[in-house]
Amino acid sequence: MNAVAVSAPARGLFGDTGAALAACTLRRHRWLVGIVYCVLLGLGALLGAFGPTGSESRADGLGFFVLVANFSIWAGWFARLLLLQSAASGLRAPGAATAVRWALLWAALVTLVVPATVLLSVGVPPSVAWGAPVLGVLGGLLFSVMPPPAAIALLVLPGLAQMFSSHLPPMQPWHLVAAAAVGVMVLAACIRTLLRAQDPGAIPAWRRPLMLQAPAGMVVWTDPKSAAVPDAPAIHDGWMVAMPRPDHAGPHAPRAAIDMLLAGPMGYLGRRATWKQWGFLILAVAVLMVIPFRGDTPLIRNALLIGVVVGLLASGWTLALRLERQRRRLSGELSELALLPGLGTPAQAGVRMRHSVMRRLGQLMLFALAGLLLLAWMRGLEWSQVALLLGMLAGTGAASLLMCATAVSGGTVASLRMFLLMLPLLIAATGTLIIAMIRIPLDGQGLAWTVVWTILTAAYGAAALVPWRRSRDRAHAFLLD
Amino acid sequence: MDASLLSIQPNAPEPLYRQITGQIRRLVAGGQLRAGQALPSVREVAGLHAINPMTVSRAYSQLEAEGLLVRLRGKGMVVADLATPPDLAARWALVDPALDALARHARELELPADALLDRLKTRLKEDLP
Amino acid sequence: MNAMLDVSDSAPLLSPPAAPLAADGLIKQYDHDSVLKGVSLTVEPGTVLGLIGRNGAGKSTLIRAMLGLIEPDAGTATVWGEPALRMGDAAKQRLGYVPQQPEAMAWLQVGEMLDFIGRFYPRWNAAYVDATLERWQLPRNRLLAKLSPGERQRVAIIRALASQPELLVLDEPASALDPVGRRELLREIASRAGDSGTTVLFSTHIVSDLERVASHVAFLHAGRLLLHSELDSLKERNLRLHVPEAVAAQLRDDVPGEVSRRPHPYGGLSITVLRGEDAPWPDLVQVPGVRAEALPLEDLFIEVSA
Repeated sequence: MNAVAVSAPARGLFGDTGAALAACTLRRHRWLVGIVYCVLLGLGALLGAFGPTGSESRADGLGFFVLVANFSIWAGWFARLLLLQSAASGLRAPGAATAVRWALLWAALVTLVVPATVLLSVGVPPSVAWGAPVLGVLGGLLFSVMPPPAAIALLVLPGLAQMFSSHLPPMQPWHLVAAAAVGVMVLAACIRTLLRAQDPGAIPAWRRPLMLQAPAGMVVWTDPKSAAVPDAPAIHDGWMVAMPRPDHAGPHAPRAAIDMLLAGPMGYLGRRATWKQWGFLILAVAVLMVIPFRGDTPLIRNALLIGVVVGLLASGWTLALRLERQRRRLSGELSELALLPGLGTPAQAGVRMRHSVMRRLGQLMLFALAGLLLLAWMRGLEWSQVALLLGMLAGTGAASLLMCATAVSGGTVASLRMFLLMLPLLIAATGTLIIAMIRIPLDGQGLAWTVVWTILTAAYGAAALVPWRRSRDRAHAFLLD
Repeated sequence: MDASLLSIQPNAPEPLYRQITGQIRRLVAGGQLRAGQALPSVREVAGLHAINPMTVSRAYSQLEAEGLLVRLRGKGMVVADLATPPDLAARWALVDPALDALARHARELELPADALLDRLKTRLKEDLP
Repeated sequence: MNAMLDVSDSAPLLSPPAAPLAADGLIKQYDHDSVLKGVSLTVEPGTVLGLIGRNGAGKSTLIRAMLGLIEPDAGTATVWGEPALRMGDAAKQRLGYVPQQPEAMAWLQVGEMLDFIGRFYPRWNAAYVDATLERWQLPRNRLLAKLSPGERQRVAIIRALASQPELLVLDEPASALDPVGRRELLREIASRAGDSGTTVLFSTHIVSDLERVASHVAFLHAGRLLLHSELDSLKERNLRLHVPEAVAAQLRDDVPGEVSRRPHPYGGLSITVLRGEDAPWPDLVQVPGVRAEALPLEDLFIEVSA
């Protein structure tokens, strides 16, 4: 059972505390989360330095950034200290519990006291200066420790509250205290479940804390060596995620067989499974849109919408990662595919495999298209802006094709090189999404954006040909690493 | 004869087929296996001890070549009907390896020969029918 | 060495039957880590070859390379004469493979997976599947991911055996099994080898399993094949000689067939000798005062890898 990805930490900066902090995730993960934290704080600092000095909105803005920064670093990194605690108590390792406690204390100090002091010194009122970091920490902990449905609900809560604010009596301080108390109790209960569980991997998926959904951490997928280690059984229980089923697959339908085995939970879905998946997505969207606001929506709901859209756009990347990971799992489906008779000659099997990947990518881009159309409708965009979004979809599709082709040809998707290659896409997409969310009119920039997305799409598409051809040259389509 | 009468030790330096032939020879020489008695089938022995049937087969074939066993239709491998029991020299040959091992152990442990002989005599007296 | 014969169905009488598995000079490196350093190995039909070696010696990598699952940096691997990397359907139908720690198709149920796989093999024995699932008490309706590692390994074994293969390749098949399960697996392997003439290659680090069922043994150490011979012959060809001081002092060169020598705790030398197939014992054996004993295989392997 891998609850924690441990990569032999050396004695940390502050002895055991540092070691505990280092042990709970991979170094790459720590760097990523750390960078996100610093960027958010940096943005806050910029706002403070150069933003309008109207006291209240400025205070709120600064508080917001501190809140989100704390949320991200606690959800992404420090909450995993609890995983370490659980693993250490299971192993009866003597000093580990103390090390974890000290690490938590140290983390709280740095992320609570320091920002609060800075905010206070800049003139932010104490309620915000202290409240924002505390809320961030609490939120981050809760998010990673609660099961996924509850975690999502948590994100939506502020939006909902704001929406219903006109119908409820005005917010008294004791309301806030009561809400905080409930939050703390929920937190305690979830932590208790986490620490008591003998085998966190065995908790049913819907009740499993978010940070355990991929027991060794989602970022582990991007680390080549750890990717080869088999997961604790992270099953996606039937109804939420449609898994490919072998009903019609067989030697008479080799294409279906390959579809079924390739890329596991991200594999190509047959008709029934696709309907199930669409059904669930529509249900989720309907639930999210409590009140169908067209044009004017509160901040949190916007954030959620963006999150969904970005997630859908990134699904191509996830598919590529998944394919690469499958290649590294030495006892997985690929060795089955390599030795299964009835899939045709190696050349034929290769063609079928590549077609399967393309079809799955197509399915994913369709989902992304639906998401973008939803975004366009909810924000009430003009046609020119919708066209811009479609351009982004095309570019993303081409880039995803490049990543999948790399994965299928034996290359590394999770590398610095790939990240640099994707940088233009990330920049252009961020710009496009900002335009879409804030509904900036396109007037003069339309042509420029068309050029940008056309070039990106063509460039990524052409670049994808190189690994695609390389994949054809391989000895057979299902080679392991 | 029951297949469990044979004791197989995979870890021993002696190859398995020789362990089997040695044990069968001793059983015949000692009279536990009489002429005309059927041996368990290759499959039985292999199945019980989880060993390769070819090992058992090899052992049986070797004993058949030596004339100790005969293959009969319907009965399988059977102890051959010998006119005389194996001669004294042959029987000593079966015991010699054990004597060698005993002597070696005693030397290594520096045990006096007289005491060893006494203890051996006691045991022989106990085992007399 | 076994040349790569072009075996086609149209000329079975002219060319001698190709060995089920053959490897020649396999070299494989992972990130500056040399896992296979030129391994050549042939598995003759009808034999049970036990591949033994420490964890990390390269056993699994060797097996994967021989089956064409990974591409070696150098060297060739053939299955029934065809290159392993381009195995045809005919060969795949006669091959059964049990990987180490199997985890394929974990989202399917046991029954679903076996039914699905069974469609691809013409000689699939569904009755055997049902009987064995029941005998080993494996639930048909359980998700593979929810099984314990031992149960998953059993399912993988059933999957490989149900197609009645002529060539069976198992990578540490007993690693997750309890002693009873191991014994049963060995029995199954032994009976198939004996009755149907199935060729078996299995890797293990448990020497006693090997000594029960294997007819041949290959010892892999640090990416090199140090021993490859018939099992019984190996047992009969090794001796550990205890050479007393006086005699040891007169030894100049290595004894022919010497594998290792070390000082004996009671004085003198302890020399392990492995003579060639038809070679005579070295003269040292006859020297008075020199005592000899045959080694159990495990000890022999330790001496060879020193």
